[in-house]
Order: sequence, then structure tokens, then C-alpha cells
Amino acid sequence: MDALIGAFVLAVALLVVVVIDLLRSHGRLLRTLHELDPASEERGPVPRRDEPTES
Amino acid sequence: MAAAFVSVAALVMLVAGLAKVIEPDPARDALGVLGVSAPALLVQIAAGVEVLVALAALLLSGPIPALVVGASYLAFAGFVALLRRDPDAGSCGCFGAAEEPPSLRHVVVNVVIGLGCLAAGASGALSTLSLLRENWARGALFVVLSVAAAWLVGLVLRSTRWSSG
Repeated sequence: MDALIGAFVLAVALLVVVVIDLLRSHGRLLRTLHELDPASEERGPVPRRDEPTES
Repeated sequence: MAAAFVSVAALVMLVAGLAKVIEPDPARDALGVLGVSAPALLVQIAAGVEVLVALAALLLSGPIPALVVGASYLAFAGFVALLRRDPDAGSCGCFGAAEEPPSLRHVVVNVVIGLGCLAAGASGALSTLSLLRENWARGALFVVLSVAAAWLVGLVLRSTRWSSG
């Protein structure tokens, strides 16, 4: 049944978009909390995934 | 796939139409931003037509309901794109009282759904009711998946991540 598969594919595709949104907003929230934390000045900013980290 | 587009689009349209029948003022405000002055009753009548079109797409097979839903979504996309050009537009008013910023995502989702429905109309996809009649169990599963997808469309549209893009 093509329609059933189509509905499933559509629902999964939309779910993927929603999960990506959630992960992104979660990352933003973590960065904001880190910036609000007074101790974060000593640790420095949270490195973004695409930025090289100092070792 | 094509029938799924029509089913999901019709369910979202049904909810949006009912929301505007109950609360027409946000849609009136959005029209006002574009310089169109419409009384609340006219917005409610248009929303009632939206509900009827959605019901027709869910219940009737054939190309016309799917094509009308597809054309409606493309018109909504154009409306939201016009609203995006005005910084005063806080909400598109699509879902009544629910604040829905006129985002780029909103335009893209409407265009994708609209094109999907036009494709469904052109290919003669079956309606949700026809699918239920054809095979009750599979039809019921199709309805459950369509409702879930329609709810997810609402969540995707709520995101304002692209609103400034």
C-alpha cells in the first residue's frame, strides 16, 4: 500500500526535522546557561562543534 | 506518498480553518498588515470554506479536492511570503489565537505541501475515506500516521529558527 508507506515516510521526515530543532535549541540553551554561569569566565566560552579545541 | 500529502494537508487545513472560525482576529490583523481590511465575519466565512475544502479532500477521491488544497497551500505560501516583507507582522493568523510568526520555514513547508497535493491531484490519489473503505486496518493505520504527521507539521511551523532568515 503506497499511501501507508508515504504517510510513514512523511511522518518520519517531519520527526527528524523536529528532533534536529530540539537538539539545536538544547545546544543554544546549554551555551546560554554557560554564559550566565559566573564560573564560566574562568573556563572560557563553550567551543562550537566546528571550532578547533585547544588541547 | 501522494495520498499522504493530501491527508496531512487537509488535517492541518481543518485545524487551521476551525481555529480561524473560533478566533478570526489574528488573521484579520495579518490581512490588515497587507492593507486588506476585512470584517471578522468575512474571515470566519473564508475559514469555513477552508474547513469544507479540507473535509472534501479527506472524504472525496478525484483530482479536484487535492488540486484545490494544493492551490490553497501555494496561496498561503504567497501570503506568508508577503507578510514576511513587513516588519509589523507578528503572526500570520493561520492558526487563530496561536501565535505563528511568518517565517521562511512556514513558506517552505506550505510550498512543499502544496506541490505534493498538486502531484496527488495529477496522479489521482485516493482520499482518506477511500483508503479506509479499501482496507479498514491499513486505512486506520494511515489515519494514525497522517494525524501524527499533521501534528508534527504544527511543531515544525512553531519553530522560529528561520524567522529571521
